[in-house]
Amino acid sequence: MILLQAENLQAGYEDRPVIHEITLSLEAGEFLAVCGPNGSGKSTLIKALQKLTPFLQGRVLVKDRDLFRLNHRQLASLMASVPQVFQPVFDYSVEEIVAMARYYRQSNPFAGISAEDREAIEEALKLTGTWPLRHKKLNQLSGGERQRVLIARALAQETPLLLLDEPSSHLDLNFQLQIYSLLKYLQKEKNKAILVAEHNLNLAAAYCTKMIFLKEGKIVAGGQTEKLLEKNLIQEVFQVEVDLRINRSTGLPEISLVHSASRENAPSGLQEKPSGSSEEKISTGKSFKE
Amino acid sequence: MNVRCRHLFFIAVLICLTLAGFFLSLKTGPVKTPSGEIFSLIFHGRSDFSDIILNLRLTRALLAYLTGASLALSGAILQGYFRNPMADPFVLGASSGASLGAVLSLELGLSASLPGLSAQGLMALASSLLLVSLVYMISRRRRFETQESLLLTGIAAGALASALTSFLLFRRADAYEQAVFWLLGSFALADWSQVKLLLLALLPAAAVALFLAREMNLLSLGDETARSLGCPVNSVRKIFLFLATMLAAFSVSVAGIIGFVGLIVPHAVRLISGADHRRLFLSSALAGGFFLLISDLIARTALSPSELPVGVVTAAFGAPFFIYLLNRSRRS
Repeated sequence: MILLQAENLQAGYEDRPVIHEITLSLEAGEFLAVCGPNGSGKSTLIKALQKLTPFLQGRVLVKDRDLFRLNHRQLASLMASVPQVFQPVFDYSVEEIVAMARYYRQSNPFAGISAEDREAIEEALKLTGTWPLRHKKLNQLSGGERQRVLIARALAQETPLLLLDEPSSHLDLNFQLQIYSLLKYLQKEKNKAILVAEHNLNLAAAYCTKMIFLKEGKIVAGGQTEKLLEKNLIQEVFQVEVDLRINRSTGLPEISLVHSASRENAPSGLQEKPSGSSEEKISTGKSFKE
Repeated sequence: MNVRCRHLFFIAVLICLTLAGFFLSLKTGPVKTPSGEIFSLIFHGRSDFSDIILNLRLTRALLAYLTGASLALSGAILQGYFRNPMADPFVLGASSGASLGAVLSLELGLSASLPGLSAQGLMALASSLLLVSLVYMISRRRRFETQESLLLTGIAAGALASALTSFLLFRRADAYEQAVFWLLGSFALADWSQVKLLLLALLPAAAVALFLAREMNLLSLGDETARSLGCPVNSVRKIFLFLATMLAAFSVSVAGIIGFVGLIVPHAVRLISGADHRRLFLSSALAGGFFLLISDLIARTALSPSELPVGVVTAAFGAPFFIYLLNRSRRS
């Protein structure tokens, strides 16, 4: 079943659209990564699909319903999102944060939490391993724990679609794998349709079934991960020299940066280097072990 | 003890303390009133002192209580609205607008009045509402409407109104004393019509705020998060801004400018009742009422027979207590 379909989507600001001519579709049980350098429009795309950008044009169907005709309450029943930055000013507990996901289902403001709500909240907390943290305040948690709490909130919304904006940013390798294993489980066992914006190509290639590459707000390439990943494509999108091979022990494609001496010597190197490159180096750490 | 229990316990304690506070307020004053007289008034409906107790002390205590509740609720709303614990009821210029109006009415020698509002109060209410509306319209006209632009415009407009007030006061030295008395805030002139007027603003506002408390929880997480969780952000924001402004403007126009309550009470209450606005709105209103009731009692008895401005008392007693609370919560 196709859950999300976008045709010729343009979004951003009225006089300055950030993404253009975006066409994509996502089915239940699919895991799509939107990749591209910083500023290529990944976050804007995720916001646009939730009607959060000041300007939005094109055709988007969410579970066969026109995005423009859905109000925020209806939309909240169809897709849940994990934002890139989340820093509440006030000290809510983990449980309170996750319970807010149930808002769109509660019509009576004084009724409190129903048995059904309680069950969904408990399941979300347990799936993400945040059940033991439920009475803690959000600002007492580590980055990885916070990320899992936000995923728990998205799960408690009980939507067929999940959107995540850079779920691995600010996390170390161990947490990155934890988060992606969890997402993989949700895709496979819960049949969720998942869309992530991700700049870490190795993570995306290892876990996602489909990929889209964005450059300057346009889709450069898209398709099944194993057919799509190609050295030239990555070099074109990120403007860096890379090496792509299959890791013998995991069987997964692996991308590593190729050091070029000219780049390091150039005094204007900083301007030439895409700003995502330092993160790319960290993420390719695995391949240096070989 | 979990937050919910702590909250309920806090509410219960507040209600007891408030009743005790009212009893003390009815008993205390320049005319000695035995406790028996108050009980006989409550249980038998008559007392030799009924006029003093009902029309002087009760009106004054009630007005102080309602003003405190209104200011604290307004502060709680605006702190959530701006996601900023430093926000208070006067941050959008409600107080500066009111002072300008009050001083203008002295300057112009206006005498029109309504039940519950003197000429100064009426002008204060009008110019307070006018100034906040202006701030809202100016900041909306900017391309990207943000809470930040609203906040900054409010601060700037408040400064402008204060400058005009100072200028008017500077030119009219004879009106100075009267104006300063009003500006510092006092309940000395409380009467029943003022109580009714404030009740008319507070009750509906509190009901709507409690009804929309879940939406405020979502708003306080950020607009985008609130939207993606299903909250109709724009309309909820408008309603809350309206509520907070009405509460601030009405309290200022009946009681003058009493600072500190709207900033400190919601902040302190949050340390006890937690961040959830369903609890916070209720306990802020109750705690704000109690706080100002006691402050006014102190203001009129500490240097009896002369009176302290109640704003002096709220700051003098509230600030140390608040610093103590902050330090305690940081340690735990």
